[in-house]
Amino acid sequence: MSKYQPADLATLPKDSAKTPALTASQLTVRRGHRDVIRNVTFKVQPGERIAIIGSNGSGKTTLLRTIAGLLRPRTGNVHINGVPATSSDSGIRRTVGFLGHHPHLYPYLTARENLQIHARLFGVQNPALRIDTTLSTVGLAASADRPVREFSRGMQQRLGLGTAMLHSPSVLLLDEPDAGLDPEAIENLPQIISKLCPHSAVIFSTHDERVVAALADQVGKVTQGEVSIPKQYIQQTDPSPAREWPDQTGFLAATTTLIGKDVRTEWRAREQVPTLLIFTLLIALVFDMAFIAIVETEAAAVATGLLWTSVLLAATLGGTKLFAAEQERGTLDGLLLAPIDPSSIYVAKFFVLSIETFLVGALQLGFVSLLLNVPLLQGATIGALALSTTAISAVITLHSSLIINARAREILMPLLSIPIAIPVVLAGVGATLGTLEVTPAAQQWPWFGLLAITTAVFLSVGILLYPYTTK
Amino acid sequence: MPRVFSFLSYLLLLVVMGVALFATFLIAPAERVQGDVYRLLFVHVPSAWLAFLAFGIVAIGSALYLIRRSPRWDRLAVASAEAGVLFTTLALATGSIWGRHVWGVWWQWDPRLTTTLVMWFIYAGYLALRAYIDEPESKRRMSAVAGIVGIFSVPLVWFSVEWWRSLHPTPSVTSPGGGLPRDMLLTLLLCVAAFTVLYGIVVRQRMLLEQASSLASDLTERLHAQQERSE
Repeated sequence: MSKYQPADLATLPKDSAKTPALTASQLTVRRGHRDVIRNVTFKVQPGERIAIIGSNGSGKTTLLRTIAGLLRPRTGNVHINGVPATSSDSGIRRTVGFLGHHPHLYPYLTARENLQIHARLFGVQNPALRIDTTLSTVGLAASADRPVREFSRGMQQRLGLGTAMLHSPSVLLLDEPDAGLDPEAIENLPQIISKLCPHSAVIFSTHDERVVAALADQVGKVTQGEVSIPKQYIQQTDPSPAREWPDQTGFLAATTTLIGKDVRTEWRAREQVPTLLIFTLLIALVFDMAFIAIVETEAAAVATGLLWTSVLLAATLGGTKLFAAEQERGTLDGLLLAPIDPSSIYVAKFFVLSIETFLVGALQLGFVSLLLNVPLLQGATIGALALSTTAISAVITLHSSLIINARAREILMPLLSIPIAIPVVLAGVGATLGTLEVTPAAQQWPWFGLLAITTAVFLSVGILLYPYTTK
Repeated sequence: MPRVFSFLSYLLLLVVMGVALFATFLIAPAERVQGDVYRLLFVHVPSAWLAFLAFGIVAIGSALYLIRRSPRWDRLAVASAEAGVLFTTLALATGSIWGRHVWGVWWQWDPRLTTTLVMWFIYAGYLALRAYIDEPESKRRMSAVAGIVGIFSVPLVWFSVEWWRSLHPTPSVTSPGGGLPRDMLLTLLLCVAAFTVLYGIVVRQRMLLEQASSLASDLTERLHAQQERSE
């Protein structure tokens, strides 16, 4: 993993010394059927601080989210340090810090753990020291090891500010940074920024005139998507030469960090696995009752059918919130702003769902064995279970990434996933029946092949297409 | 010009559909064993082929949308998906009626029938996904990915009769040696041509409708924005 050091203005190449920290040219952003931002052009030099003011719905948030790279402009472009912000290389995001309406925080992790994850994803140097400095600067040193869910709104906002500034970005974007803060914290805001990001260009939105007076060098007013800003900030030249183009964080480092984060969250919250387990046990009971007439004579067939039906339904249920939970908390934005390959988010989610589904499936295997007196607990069956749960997870992860902005996700998820997962269930049943010697061993290998191919195809397609679903 | 094109395309449909119907009922002879019920083949096979074509176009339109981000590719994808679902429904329904007469049952869990039903569900899911996402740009992106993924079901349906033991007749036109007498083959090809013209017209009209709907939403938004400004 490359370690990024914030650019020291004195050491920048000569030709890039006058490169603005941020330039926005002819920016038009459409949301729905409406141009929320129209033809906005401006530039900000390193160290300058600009307040964006305007009434509710005027386009302030959309402007900041577009500069941050969370929204794709309809026309125009944004350059950060001379580098196009829409570049497919996510390394550029290392130079941007963003605090949205909701701080990008994981409630079941402590303040320190939240910052550690951010530091790993952004490749911060000397993370322990920087995290301690940040926590004390935002006034959370004493609460560093408390879970964020116990924090007040104001404390969460302060941690959000610290997170946005942890990696010393060149461009700091703050959407209403004073929201939820007490008067003392609002007063300290300029000092916090000066200490953590002394050279950053800061663009922030606010409704509070005191914050504007304390923090801003200049004010830009947004009215109906148009920005009126003092003349010297209007970008009139072509984008200047780029400063150093930072690397993105390594795929493996990012993926393992995200898997660790999800596993730790599940371990503490215990939201998914226990619920899904009870759900599958309930299905086992219902099936046992429903097929009581053939349970004695066709025990193996009923057991395998029951096992795979319940595992598929559990995975579908678990997958519904796989990406949506991050979206609802606002943390998905935080991940998409990190200098990582978006595919690492996808792969991490796939691994987490695979682990959860396998755990639920393994416990269900034991339960069904006992309930129907079928010897399912054996090496080959567990192998078939591992391969099948991986294939099911590959299908469901893909669809989970598609429904994050949809209504009625609980209905959509099975509607989309189950038809595509039917061949996987067939293969799972075939492979399991083979291990029980109901069918000849030679006949089970094609099923294993089908499971491996399904996993490979859906995982590859998902990884390839996921970046398209993000913006 | 578009009006002339529309008129000519409807005229073409009328002619080719008329000829196809004439051939179906008056030129193609009755089948020796099945009698007249086999004539369902002239609706069933073109419907299935057009469904494959439609879903192929969905995948192409979806991929082009993700690359170009032009709404017209999305319009093509959704129009083709709706036509594809319609043709698949027609293929399933005619197949079921034929099955009742020949096999004695309305439905068999046969690989070709099952995979076709799965394909129908996949594209019904695609349409449901679109219905449940409100933000237009997000709707286009997400459904484009679903439109590409759905195409995996087409080879599954096509090769199902070869990969698994199936009651469903194997292809009688593309298989070596053919199998259909000349008059029946000619009628089938005429019906395919008629259904293809129908598909083209349905897709074009649906695309125009989608464009008009989008334009109406744009105008409404602009009107609201103007009203807000004047206030």
